[in-house]
Amino acid sequence: MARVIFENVTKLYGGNAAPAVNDLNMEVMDREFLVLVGPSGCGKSTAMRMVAGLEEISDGRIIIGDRVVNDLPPKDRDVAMVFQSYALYPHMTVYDNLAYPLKLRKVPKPERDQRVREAARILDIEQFLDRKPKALSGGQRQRVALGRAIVRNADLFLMDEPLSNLDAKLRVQTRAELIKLHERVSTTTIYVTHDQVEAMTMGDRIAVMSLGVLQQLDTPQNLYDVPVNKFVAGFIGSPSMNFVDVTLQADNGRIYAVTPGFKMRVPDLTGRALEQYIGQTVTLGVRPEHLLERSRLDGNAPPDATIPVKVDIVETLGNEIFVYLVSGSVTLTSRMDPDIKLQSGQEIEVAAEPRRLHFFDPKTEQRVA
Amino acid sequence: MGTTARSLPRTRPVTADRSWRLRQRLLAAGRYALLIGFLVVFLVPFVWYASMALKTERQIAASPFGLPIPPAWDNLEQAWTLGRYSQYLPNTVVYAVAVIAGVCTFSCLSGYALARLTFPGRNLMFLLLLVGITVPFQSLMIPTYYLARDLNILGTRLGMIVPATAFGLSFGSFLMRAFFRGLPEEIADAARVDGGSEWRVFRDVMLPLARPGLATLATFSFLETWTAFLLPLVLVQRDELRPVSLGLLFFTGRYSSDRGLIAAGVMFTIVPIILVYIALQRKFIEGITAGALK
Repeated sequence: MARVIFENVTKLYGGNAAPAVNDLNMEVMDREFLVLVGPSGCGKSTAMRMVAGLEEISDGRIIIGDRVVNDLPPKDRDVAMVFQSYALYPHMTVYDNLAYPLKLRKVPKPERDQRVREAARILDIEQFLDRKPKALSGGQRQRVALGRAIVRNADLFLMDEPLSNLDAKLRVQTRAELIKLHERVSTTTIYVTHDQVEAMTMGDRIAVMSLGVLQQLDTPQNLYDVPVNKFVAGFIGSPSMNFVDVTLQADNGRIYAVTPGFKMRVPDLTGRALEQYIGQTVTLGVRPEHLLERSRLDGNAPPDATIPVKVDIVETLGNEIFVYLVSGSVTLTSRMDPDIKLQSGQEIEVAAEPRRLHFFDPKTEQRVA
Repeated sequence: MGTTARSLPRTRPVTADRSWRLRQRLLAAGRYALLIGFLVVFLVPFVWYASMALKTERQIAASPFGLPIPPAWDNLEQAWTLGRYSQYLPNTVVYAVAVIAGVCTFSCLSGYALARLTFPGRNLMFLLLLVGITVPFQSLMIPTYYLARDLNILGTRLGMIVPATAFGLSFGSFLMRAFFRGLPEEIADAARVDGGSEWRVFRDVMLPLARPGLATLATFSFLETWTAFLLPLVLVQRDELRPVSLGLLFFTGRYSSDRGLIAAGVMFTIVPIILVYIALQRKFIEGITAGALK
């Protein structure tokens, strides 16, 4: 088992002015399941490939266990990797695919055989051992790819979007199996995905990346509750957080968020942190599931802490409804109980619990309250 | 009225269907006619030579395109003996096998390096290889002769094998480079992470995947070596080392030539090529069409 430390790690591709990974500092704990998440091109796969040794590190250090691995070739790093395309060896049978890493490490034949069969049993692919990969379904290939990783008893697992080629149903099923597998083998795992649901459900901690920069490294719940900036706030959660540019005004010792469409009182506790922004514009963020019809809010919101809106569109999903609301030029999305009967054009008041309101500096996009 | 009303919708689609079917049949007939035309164009010289191989000089003069009736089987025996095929055929097999082995081995190594490894001057090297493909043998014939002489391989089997391998390397490296570039990088990465050195990645994973490309290259090399004429004419000076292509020279005198014997000799030369092609046909087609899609 091993921990992985990124120390000021930077990756710069020739011809590109902007680094693919920029001054990355983080530590993956021993036995941890860490998810690297972010949109395409954010540098998450590059960061993982640098750990595997498949990309050179332009600057900084990567430490696996107690060894600085910058100059070690992939074969000497003792990491196992599952690729997005599975990358099985098409000319070898499933058995040979699983046995190949052991053969390269000169594991004696009887032990090799025993470990291959053990991995095949764990992943329920024993009946396919004589087949070639082309004779397997996507899900079965995925299992073989996982098997090739676990058969090694490596210090570190790297998984590069391993579920993205599976259909939706199989993805959910395999996700659960991966979680179980991690509980069983407890190997330190770095998992790359662009799917925030995968990230939230699988990760002990999640590292959110954007444009090569680590935005936040935290537990799934903290990322959701206390996003450090507007990017993380918008990236985590579906539908994504509503953002409205508001001007802060002081009135009778209280702070109000004002737009041409509404004037909403900012909760006192939050307001104190916002005092320096009075008279300026800040970005107000509220998640759709926290923007409720006023009467549905526990303890009801005070009248001046609500937003008057007009219902634009109602989308019914069965277990919930998405309501698109309009207030002046501002459009908001709300996720509500399906038993609320709303119609297009209806005027209602919505509000959120004080702790569910987020404020961001419009220039730096950092969270201010 | 009722009958007309009912019959109308029935007859119209049937007519449309018939004309559509007719059009399809005509199109298919046209396609087949074209293909048969090509087949005839390619087969006529072969059949003509095959029939000539079984005709005496007098039969050829009387009816150049006629059937060999009665067949002059003697031609084959005479050509075999006169053209020294029992001696030249094994020579050619040795040359072909050695050149194929050399070209395939070195082309795989250089093709892989040019496709997958990064090193200074890689693109320049590839450009030089491309230039190598375009230079005709005739312009290098004399320097090659002197080079072979200086290397003390002139008049030996190596005198044929080494230059033929060298001349095949430009195209071979070009072909194998294209093939290796077409293979997914992730598979090589997987082998590296699994613990493979660059050599093991090449030998265990990438090379087996490049088999269709190798079969194509082997076929091309075989064809090139088997039919080579100028190269052995210049470099193989000892009679007992000559390949089949030079055997044909014995059927041509200064003032006359025996067309029947030449045709029989040509048959001995091309039949092995056809057999090799049939054996490697599937892989060959896979190889030359690889990368055409995606």
